Amino acid sequence: MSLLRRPVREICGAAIAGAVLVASACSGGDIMRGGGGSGEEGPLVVDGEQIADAKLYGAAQEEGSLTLYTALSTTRELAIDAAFEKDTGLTINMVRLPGGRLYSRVVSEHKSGKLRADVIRQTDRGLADSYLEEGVWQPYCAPFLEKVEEKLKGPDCNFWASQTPFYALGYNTELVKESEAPRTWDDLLDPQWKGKIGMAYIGAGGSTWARDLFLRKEKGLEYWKRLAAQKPVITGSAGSVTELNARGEVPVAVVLPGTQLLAKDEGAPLAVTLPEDGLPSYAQWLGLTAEASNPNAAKVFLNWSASRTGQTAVAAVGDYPVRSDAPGPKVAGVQFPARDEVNLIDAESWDDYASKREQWMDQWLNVFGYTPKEGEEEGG
Amino acid sequence: MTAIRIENVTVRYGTVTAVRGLSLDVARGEMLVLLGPSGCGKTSVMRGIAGLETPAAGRITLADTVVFDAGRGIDVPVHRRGVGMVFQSYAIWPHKTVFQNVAFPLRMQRLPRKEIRARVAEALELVGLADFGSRGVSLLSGGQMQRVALARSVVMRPRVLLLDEPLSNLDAKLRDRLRFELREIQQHLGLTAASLTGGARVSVGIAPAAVHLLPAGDGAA
Amino acid sequence: MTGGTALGARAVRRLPLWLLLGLLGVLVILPIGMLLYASVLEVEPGPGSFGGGLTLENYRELLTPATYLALWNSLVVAVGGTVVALVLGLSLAWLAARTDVPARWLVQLAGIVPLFVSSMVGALAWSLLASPRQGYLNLILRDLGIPFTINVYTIGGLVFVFGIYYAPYVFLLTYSGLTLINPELEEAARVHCASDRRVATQVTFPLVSPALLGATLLTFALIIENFPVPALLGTPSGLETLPSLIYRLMNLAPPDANGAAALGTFLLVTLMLVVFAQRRMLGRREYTTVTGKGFRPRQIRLGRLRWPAVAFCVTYVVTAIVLPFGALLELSLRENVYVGGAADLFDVSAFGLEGFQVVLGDISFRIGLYNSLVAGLLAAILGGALHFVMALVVHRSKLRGRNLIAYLGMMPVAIPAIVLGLGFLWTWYLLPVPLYGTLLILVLAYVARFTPQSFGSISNSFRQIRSDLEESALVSGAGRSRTSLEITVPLIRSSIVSAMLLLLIFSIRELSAVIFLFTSDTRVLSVVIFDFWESGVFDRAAAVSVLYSVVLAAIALFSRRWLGVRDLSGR
Repeated sequence: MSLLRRPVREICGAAIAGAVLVASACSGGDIMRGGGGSGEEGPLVVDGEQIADAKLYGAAQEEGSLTLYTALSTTRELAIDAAFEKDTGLTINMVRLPGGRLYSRVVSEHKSGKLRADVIRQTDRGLADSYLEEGVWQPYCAPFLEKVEEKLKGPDCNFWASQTPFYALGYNTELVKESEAPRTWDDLLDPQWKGKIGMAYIGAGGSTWARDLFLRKEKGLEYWKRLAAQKPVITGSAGSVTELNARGEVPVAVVLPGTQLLAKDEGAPLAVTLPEDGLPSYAQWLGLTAEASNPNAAKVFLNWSASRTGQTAVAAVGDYPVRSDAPGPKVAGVQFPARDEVNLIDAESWDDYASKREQWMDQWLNVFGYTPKEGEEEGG
Repeated sequence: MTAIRIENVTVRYGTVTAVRGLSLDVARGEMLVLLGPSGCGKTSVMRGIAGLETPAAGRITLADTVVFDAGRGIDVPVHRRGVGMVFQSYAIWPHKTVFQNVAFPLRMQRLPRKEIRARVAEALELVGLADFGSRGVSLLSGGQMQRVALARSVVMRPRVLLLDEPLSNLDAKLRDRLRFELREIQQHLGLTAASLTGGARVSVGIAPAAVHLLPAGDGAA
Repeated sequence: MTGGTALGARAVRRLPLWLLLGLLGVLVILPIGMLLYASVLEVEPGPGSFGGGLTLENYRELLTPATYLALWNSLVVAVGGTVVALVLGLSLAWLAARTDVPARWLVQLAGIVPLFVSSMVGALAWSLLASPRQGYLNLILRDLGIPFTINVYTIGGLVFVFGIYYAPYVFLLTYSGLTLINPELEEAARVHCASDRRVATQVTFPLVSPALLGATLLTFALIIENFPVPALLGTPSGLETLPSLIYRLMNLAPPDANGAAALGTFLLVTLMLVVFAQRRMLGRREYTTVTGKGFRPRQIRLGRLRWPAVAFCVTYVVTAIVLPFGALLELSLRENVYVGGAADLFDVSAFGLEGFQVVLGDISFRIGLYNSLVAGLLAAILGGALHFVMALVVHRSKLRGRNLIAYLGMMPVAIPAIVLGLGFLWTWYLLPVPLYGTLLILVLAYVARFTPQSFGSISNSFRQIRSDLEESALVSGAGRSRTSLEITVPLIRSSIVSAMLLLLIFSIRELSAVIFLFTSDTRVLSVVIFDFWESGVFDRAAAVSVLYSVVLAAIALFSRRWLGVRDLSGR
């Protein structure tokens, strides 16, 4: 069957070219590599931090590559992976699927003993926990984890957050003046935006659920109803929202700032505002699999992801790094404030994230017209 | 010496009985003509001899070899029976030349190429198409096609030659001529032949032995 | 010869039949079985979790307003789309077949449109043309001061897009019927003083009504199972049909696979009823008056209506091909995706080939193209071989059970593609062959999905070969397989080639059947476009769509002489 299997490596190899800009921006520090062409053994040190000792790095180089299953958007994942490949000389075979499909693929492969992933990056704490129950993870305590908040770490080093993306507001600069752009979530309810708002469908992933949970909890069911009454244009993914915003199909939108600004970098007339009344955020959970066939390369990747250089790569795609000493995101020349200077709301840490999910999602579908409107008695 | 022996052969299609308990013998070098209205089972008998049809009961012996015996479970496949057959429609393969059509049975016998060439030439000569070898078949006339079909069926020197209403598609004049040629070739090669025809008149010129079949449903045969 | 060896010989002779039944079982029966099984399981099927409790809960949970709404939308869209497609397709066919309309080639162009414009590409293009705010057509309307907005994200929009992209099927199915009518039947009516119009309504259309009925139900079935169009055009306004609801359930985190299976079963049963109805109704009405003889049908003079008729045809071609490709090119060529007004659309200075350069260099495009071509070719080769052997056994053997093969071969007509994909997914979890994650599973899905078309067309050509051509080879001493190889295959070669080309084109065009089967390294072009669209990279989706359609058009043009398209355009 080897004839039918294109090596995934090629995907990543060629993607480097496209992502060089980002890569060079995020690993400004010096790289000191042992091994390599000289055949001399040595540790891997980047930016003054030791990412792997000589033994681990040597073993990783033997393996040469690792397989990563990810739910992060393709553009952002490729940019981060390119930075890693540049720093370490190891390559990543990336398999990208939307969160739900990734989850069922991992579980079924794991159950049949054929999980190909060495590392998984997945949204949704609930899914990460159920991987734990299924025995998908293998505990591994990467260095630098002490610099990460407790709530962003799973039990016993099984998994931890590599980054916390967040939702903010975006607008098309050709259609909306900076002074008129919405600055708070409540601004979206202004009648002037009726029919002009874009947002991703609640079930698109763990991220959109976090966004709508935040709005429901902070602003109430009434906010959902008023937002629905604005007749927003609903898309299947967060990426499409940015696209609609860029074309002007929707002048304003609820966006992932990283995706939005990467598009701005390519010339789209886009901008982002960070709503003062809170930025709903969620985690990308990262961990080593129990069946990893390239455990050493995988460990180097996990170490790197928690290192300063790895966290800088995360910031360069517009997500918040998880380390307290890392800078805020910086994309396309736009610098965000540091983590503790913005009002990041970790919607995932609420109990409701898991317990209310099904019920409130159904309610959302109803409010936003996916299912027929129920009687008005609830409207009150 | 019997070349074809049919014993108690019954042919059924589903619930319809086409031939019921037919028995007959044809001596070597003889020509048998089956007569009868359409639907009386002539074609079924002929196809049964060739092996294209599997009778429900009975036994068929060709030149002392039992090729079919319902009781003993013997059914020699059609391509091993060594029977030559001219179809009513001639069944000339449109994608092959005249030579390729006639050479086909010999190729199936894996004869050396040289011998194939010699025997095809001989057969074409016999039917009067000596110069036609390299032609495509689509431009042949009806009479020429019939000769190609005849050459193809005699080139393999069959134990038995079967002719399925070979003249019905031709005009009356041509029919008369070919009828005598056919008889001549059959006698020249000493072949045992079975021919069938819808009209009684045809038999007059060529048939030393004729069997008239009645529809099975009438309780005859 | 003893009874024992005779029995053994019989077993050997029946071997091909068992092999075929086994293959079709895996390709058709097992996926449906897995779907039904998953729909009554408590947990999602997966390797090692095929046990678990049985429940009817999944079906009970279907009884929600969301399902009813999706069902209602499906029905409305399918009925509406079918009506539009019928009106368009039949008008075009009638004009091309029976009138003296000028520029006939233009009408006949309609016949090959579906070969290279997939409904996904059509929907994508129309979302660019007629999205309510920045749709290119709406920009033009606004700049012209016309206070009218075309919104394609509505039921009407879906009906419209379905109508224009399924009209060609109606055209193809009724065109030959219209040309083959014995003109004496119409002349008889004319002799009895019927006007042209009365001849058309009283004689001509009743005569083609079996073909028309077949076309109606086929179009209805194709629309109701279509996934890409509601996915692309329904999502922005929360408009769901059954196939797009199935996709949504499978994309929940975690997926509601059992619910999707139950819904899939429901859609399957619906479609089977439609196909069953079609067979029943067609079975009773024979085409006795439509014969294959080469009549020269009388042409109706359009007179003053000639030019309106041409205008109608031009409008169709512009709507179905010119505008959509214009829109796709516009977006792929623009350096800035934002268009401020109608004038910007025609500002050539904003154009560049960079978009195409990026896409041509993009690894996902290259992998997609490579995979599409390899999978399409493999589907054509494997499918062509399988469908030929099936037809051979059905039409040339006397093995008992051969009719079962014919029946199984036609069954996928009634299986919605997206449901077939789900069934395949679970089937290959169950079977101990590690096919999931390879291109081969896509190939098998293509082969299964298009068995009715390919097997059907090879079967037809078998019916046209007189069996004595093969029998005379048998009598000449050739065995069964030798006969097939030397006589049968050469005689129906062109129909095998045409079936294989259809498999190639249909496979490359297909999205729904493989949307659950691909993995990152086995993406095909249709999936690449869908992924670009879903992750919001519309300009790349547009550029890939253009290239994708060019590839399909090239294959279609190359195939013309085998596909019978020439018969249409050569008249």
